[in-house]
Amino acid sequence: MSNTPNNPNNKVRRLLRLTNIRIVSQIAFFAIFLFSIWATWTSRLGGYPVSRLLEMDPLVTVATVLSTGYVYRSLGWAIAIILLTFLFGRVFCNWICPYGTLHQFIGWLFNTNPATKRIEQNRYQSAQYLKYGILIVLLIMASLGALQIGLLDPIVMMYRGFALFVAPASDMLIDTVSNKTGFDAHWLNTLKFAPGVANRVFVGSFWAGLFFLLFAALNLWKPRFFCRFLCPLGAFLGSLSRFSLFRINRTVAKCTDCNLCLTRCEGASDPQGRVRVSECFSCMNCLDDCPEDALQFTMFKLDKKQALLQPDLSKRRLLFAGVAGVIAFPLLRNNGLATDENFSPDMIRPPGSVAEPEFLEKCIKCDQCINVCPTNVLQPATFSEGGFETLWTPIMNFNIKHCQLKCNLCSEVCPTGAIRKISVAEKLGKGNYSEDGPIVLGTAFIDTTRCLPWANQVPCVVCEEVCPVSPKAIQTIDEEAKDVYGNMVLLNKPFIVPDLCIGCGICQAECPVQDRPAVYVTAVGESRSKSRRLLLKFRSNPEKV
Amino acid sequence: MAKKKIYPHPDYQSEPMKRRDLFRKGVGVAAASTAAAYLAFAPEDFPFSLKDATGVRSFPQTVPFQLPDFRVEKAIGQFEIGLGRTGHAGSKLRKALDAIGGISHYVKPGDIVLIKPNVAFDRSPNMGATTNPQIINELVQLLLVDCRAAEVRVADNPIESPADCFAKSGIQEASERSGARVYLPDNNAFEVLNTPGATLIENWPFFKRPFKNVNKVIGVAPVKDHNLCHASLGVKNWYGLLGGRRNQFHQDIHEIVSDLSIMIRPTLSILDGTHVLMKNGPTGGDPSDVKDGDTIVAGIDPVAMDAWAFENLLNRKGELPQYLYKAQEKGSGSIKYQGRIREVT
Amino acid sequence: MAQGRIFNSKKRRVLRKQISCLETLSGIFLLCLLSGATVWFIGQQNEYNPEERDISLDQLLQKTNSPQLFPPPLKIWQEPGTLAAGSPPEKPGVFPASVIDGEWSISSRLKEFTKENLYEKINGEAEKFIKQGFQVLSYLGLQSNRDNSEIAIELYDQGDMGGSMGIFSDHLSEDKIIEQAGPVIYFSTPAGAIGRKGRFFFRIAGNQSSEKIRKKALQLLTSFSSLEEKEDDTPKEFRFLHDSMNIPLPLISFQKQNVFQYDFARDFWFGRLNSEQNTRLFIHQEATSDESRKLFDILLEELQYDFQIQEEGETHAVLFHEYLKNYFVISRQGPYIFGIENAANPEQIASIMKKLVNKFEDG
Repeated sequence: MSNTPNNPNNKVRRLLRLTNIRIVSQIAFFAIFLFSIWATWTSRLGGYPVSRLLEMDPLVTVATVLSTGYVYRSLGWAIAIILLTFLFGRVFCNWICPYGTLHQFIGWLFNTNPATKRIEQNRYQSAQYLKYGILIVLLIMASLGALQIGLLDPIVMMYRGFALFVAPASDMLIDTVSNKTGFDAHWLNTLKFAPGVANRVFVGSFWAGLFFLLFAALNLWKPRFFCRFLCPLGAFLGSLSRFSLFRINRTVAKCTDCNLCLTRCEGASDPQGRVRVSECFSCMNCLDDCPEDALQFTMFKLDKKQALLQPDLSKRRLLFAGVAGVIAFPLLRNNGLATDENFSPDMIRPPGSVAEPEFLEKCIKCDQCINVCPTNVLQPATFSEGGFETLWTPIMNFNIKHCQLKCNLCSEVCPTGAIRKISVAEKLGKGNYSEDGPIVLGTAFIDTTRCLPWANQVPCVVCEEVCPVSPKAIQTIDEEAKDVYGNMVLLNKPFIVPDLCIGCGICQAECPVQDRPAVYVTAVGESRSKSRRLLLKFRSNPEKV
Repeated sequence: MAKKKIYPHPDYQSEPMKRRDLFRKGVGVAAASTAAAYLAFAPEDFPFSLKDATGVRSFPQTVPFQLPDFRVEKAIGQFEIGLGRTGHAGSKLRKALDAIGGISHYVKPGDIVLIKPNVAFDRSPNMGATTNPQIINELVQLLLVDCRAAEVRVADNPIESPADCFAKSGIQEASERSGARVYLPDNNAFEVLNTPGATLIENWPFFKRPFKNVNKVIGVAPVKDHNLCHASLGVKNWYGLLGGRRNQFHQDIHEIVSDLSIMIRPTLSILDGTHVLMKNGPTGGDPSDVKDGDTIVAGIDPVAMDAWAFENLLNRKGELPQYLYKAQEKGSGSIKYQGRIREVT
Repeated sequence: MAQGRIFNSKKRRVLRKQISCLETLSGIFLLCLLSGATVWFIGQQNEYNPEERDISLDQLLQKTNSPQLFPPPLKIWQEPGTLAAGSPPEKPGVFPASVIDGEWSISSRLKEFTKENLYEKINGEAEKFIKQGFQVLSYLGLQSNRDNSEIAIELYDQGDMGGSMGIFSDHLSEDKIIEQAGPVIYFSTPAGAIGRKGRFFFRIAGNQSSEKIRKKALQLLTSFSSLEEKEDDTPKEFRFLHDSMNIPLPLISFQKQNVFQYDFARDFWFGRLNSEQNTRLFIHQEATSDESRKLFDILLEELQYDFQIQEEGETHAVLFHEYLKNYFVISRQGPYIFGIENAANPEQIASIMKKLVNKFEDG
C-alpha cells in the first residue's frame, strides 16, 4: 500500500501537492509585491512595472471604467485575473493577493486554538454578506463619480500601508539602530526602501498605519476577518466565481461528516456541506484535511446539489446597499471641496493631475506617487484638505519639501491616470508644449507680516534665489533702510509675479521662517483647472489662454 | 461566638531561621543601607551621585567633533597650481596633476580618500551646474590604480533630492563604475562639527558619515557663476558638506564661504573648467549659459585657484568675490596666484 | 495549554489517502508559470538612464521669447529731515545732475573709494591708478526704467591733469580712435566709453552692447564737461603743446613713468603732430637747470645703445635708428627738456625744431 504512487507518503507527490504549490505562489507574489515597493524609488525605477499588481486588480479597472468610461494605460491587465476567476474561482484571494497572504500568515503563525475550536471558527457566518454590500456601495459611488474603492481594496491597502507606514517605519528603524550601534554597512542601503534621503515623514502616517495593522490584528479574533467580511475585491471575484469551471466538489457518498475539512478552511465556505463557491478561496487545505478523500477540486462530475453558487445577498440587502451607495455620493460631495465652490487652498495636487472632479474619479489612494516622490513633498491628505472623500489622496506639503523641477516620477507610477503621464518637457512647457506653458501647481504669495525684509528689516532673498523659473517669478523691490541698530541695510522685498509662478513650492520649503513660512503656495491658479485660475491672461505668454 | 484559633493552619510549615541565614541577611541589609546612604548623601561630583540640585545634568550638550588637517606638503620643486588644457577631460586632469608633482605625491597606498564633487542640482552633466562625471571617473581610477588607495568615497549633500541629483548628473554611475562608493546624506549622516576660528559656523551640522577613517580629501568643483556670491568655485564647493538650515546662510554668504575655507583643509582642490557656467548660476539649466572652458586646474591653494579661475575662466574683471579676501585674511591661502601656476601641455 | 504558546506549533498534516497524478503534473505546470512570471517581472528592467527623465538638449535650445521684466528702481534711504518725503532720490554727488533722466535712474548709492580701499573695487588695477596720483573714485550705478539695461560709471579723480592723461594713455591701444567732445576726450568700448577731462578720468560700462547704452554713454561723456575744475592747474607743458604748438587735445598724452622704457625718465608730455603719423613732440620740466642737464646727459648716454649720434652739442643732439630708419631729437633749455620722437627725415626735424625753439623762446 505504501508503495503505490497515489499514496500521500510518496515524497514527490506529497511535495508537489496543490497546497504546497499555493504557498510557493503566495511567496512569489508577495516577493513581487515587496520588490515593487522597493523598486518604486528614483534610483531603482528602471522600467520595472512597479504598479502592475494594482493594474491587474479587476476592482480598480472595473471601478475606473465605471467612473471614467475608459481603460487607462495598463489597467487592461485585470483581464488576466478575471479570466483566472472564470476558470478557477477566487484563486486570486489565496494564491496571489499579498494582503491575503499576510492575513493567512498571521493566522497560521498565531492561531493556537485546538482543532475543535478552529472548526467552529471556520464555519460560514451570515455576516459575510457584508462585503457584497460594500462592493455595491463602492461601485455605485464610482459610477456617480466618487471613486472610493481604494479605501478597502486589498491591493491598494497593501501598497498604501507599505508606502505610508511599513517602508518609512522600516527605514527609520534601520537608521536608528545603525545610528545607535554605529553599524554602518553599505548593504543597509539596499535594505532600505528609500536610501539616500533624510528621514521621510508622512502626515497621518499613524492612522494609515493603524488602519493597515488593525485588519492584520483582527485575524486573531476571526481568521481572515478582512477577506471574509470586508474585502470588496473578494466580493467582486466571488460574484464572478459562480461561472467558474473548477470548484470544490464533495462526494457525499464518501463523506462521514467529520468536519475536519473545516480545520483550515480559509474562506469559511462550508466545504462540509453545500460549498459556497463565492466564498471559497481555492486554498486547497480541505483536500489535504479530508481523511476520506471526499473532496476534489475539479470540473468533472460536479454535484450540483452540493454547491451554492450565489452570494448570500437577499434582495432586501441588495436594495439597502444600493440606496446606501446613492446616498453616500452626495454625503461625501456636499462639502464643495471637490468642486470649485469651496476648494481648499491646501489641495495642491502633484504635477500632471487632472482637474479635481476627474481626479476623484481616478485616484485609488494607492499612494504609489507618495512612495516614489524623491523629495517627500507628496503627502497623504487628511480630512482637513478635502474631507473624507480625499482621505489619503496625494497632496503637496511644501513645508516639508518642494516639487523638484525636472521630476515626473509620480506621473510615471500612477496606475489610473489621476496623475496623467507627463514628460519633463510637458511639465516645464518646453518644446512642443511651449504654447501651453509650464504645468502650474498653484501660486505663491508673500506674507509681508512674517517676511524678514518686509516685516523685520533683516535682509534675506532666499525665495528669490531658489526660484527655478526663468525669468524668476519672485522679484524684489530693493530698498535701502537704516535699521533699528542704525546700520544701513539693503532690503530686497520679494513679490510674486503670478504669471511666471509654477507653484513648485521651493520658496516655501526654503523660507527661513520655517513653521509658518512667509512665502507660501496655495492651490489657486493651478493649470489643471480652468475654473480655479487666477489671471485673465498671462502677461508672460499671450498665446496661452 | 468565641473566636476560633486558626493557627497553626493545617498547611502551615515553619521556616526556621538559622544563625548563618541571619548573618547573611544582616550583611545584605547593612550593605544595601550603606549604598543607599552613599547615593543619597554623595555630593554632585562623586561617582554615582544622585544629586543634581542645580539641574545641570539636563543642560543640553552636544559634543562636536573636529576634522583633522588633510593637507600634504607641496612636492619639492613643484608648483602649487597646475593647469591642464589639452586632450579629453581625463588627460586634462592628469596634466593638471602632473604639474603639481603627480597625484601619487598626495595620496599614498592604503589611504582612504573622499572626493567631494558638486552635485547640488538635478542637471545633466553638460549643463555646467555639476561636476563633470568623466573627471570623477578618471580621478577614482587614478586613486585606486595609480595611488593604490584603499577606498575611494564620493559624497555630497545636494540642494535637491540627493538620489535624483546623483543619478541625473551621472556622478552615481561614474563613481560606481570606477569602483568608488557613493555616500548620500541620509538620516544618521550628520553630526555637529566644531571649526575653531569660524565666525558663523563654529558649531554646525556636518556630513560626517563619509569622513569615518578618511585621511585624504579632494574637492572637485565646477566653475560656475553664482548670483549671490558672484562665483561658485573650489571654496564654495564645501558648502555641500553642511547640513542644517543652510538657507540662513544667505544672510551673510561671504562670511560663510570664507568660514568654509578654514572648516576643511583639503589635500587637493580640483577645479573643473570643462563646462563653465557663465551666467544664471548656480542652477543654470540653459545650454546657452554654458561655455566650454577646456581647462582643469589642480592645486593646493584653493584661494589662489579660485582667484585665477574667476579672472581667467569666468572672465571677470576687477573685484574678486569678497569671500576670497576674507578667506585670505583667515589664512586659507593667497589671492596672489601670479608665478605659482604651471601648465603641462 | 493554548494560552501559553505564542506560535501555533501544529504541523501541517496530510490526511487524505490519494494524491492524483494530475495534481502533481498541474503542480509542476503551475511552478513553471510562476517562475516564468517572476522572471518576466524582473526582466522588465531596461537600461533606463535617469538622465532620460530630463528634458532633451534640443528642446532646451529652442529659445522661447522669455519676457523682459522691468525691475523696480532702488529706493534710496533718505536721512529724515534732509529732504521732503516723496522727493526724487538723492543728488548723484559729484556727478552732474543730468546723469539721471526720464529713462535712467540710480540703481546703487553713490560709493566713494579712496587709496585705502580702492583695491576692494578694482583689485589688480588699483596700483596703476594710485601711481598716477589717484585721489578718489566715485562709483555710481544706473539702471534703465524700461528694460534691464544697466550702466556703471567709475569717475576717478587723479589729482591733476597729468594723472588723468597718464591713466587715459594707459587704457589706449592702437586700434582705439580718440574722439573729442568739448573739453572731454574719449574712446568708445563695445558697451560704453572711457574718457578724461581735466583731472578726471572715467569709465562708463554697460551690461550689454546696445544702441541705447551707447547713446546714454555719449550723453554722460558730454555732461561730464561740466565737472568742476580746481583753479587753473593746467601744467605749462600741456599749455605749451596745446596753445603754443596748436596740437589738438586728443593728440596730447602724458606718461608718468618709464618714459622711452627708462625708469629714470618720468613725467613727460607728448604731442603727436597729426593723427596719421607717429611723429611726436615731447616736453618735460625739471626743477632746476642743473637737474635737466643731468637728465639730458643720462638720456643721451642711454639712447646711444639704440641710436647712432648724428649731431651732438651741449644742449642738442640728433640721433638715428638704424633699423627703424627714424630720427630722435633731444634738446634742453633751462629746466626744460624737449625734442622729437620718430621723425621721418632731417628736413622735418629742421622745420619742427625751428618752430619749437621759436615758440619756446616766446613762451
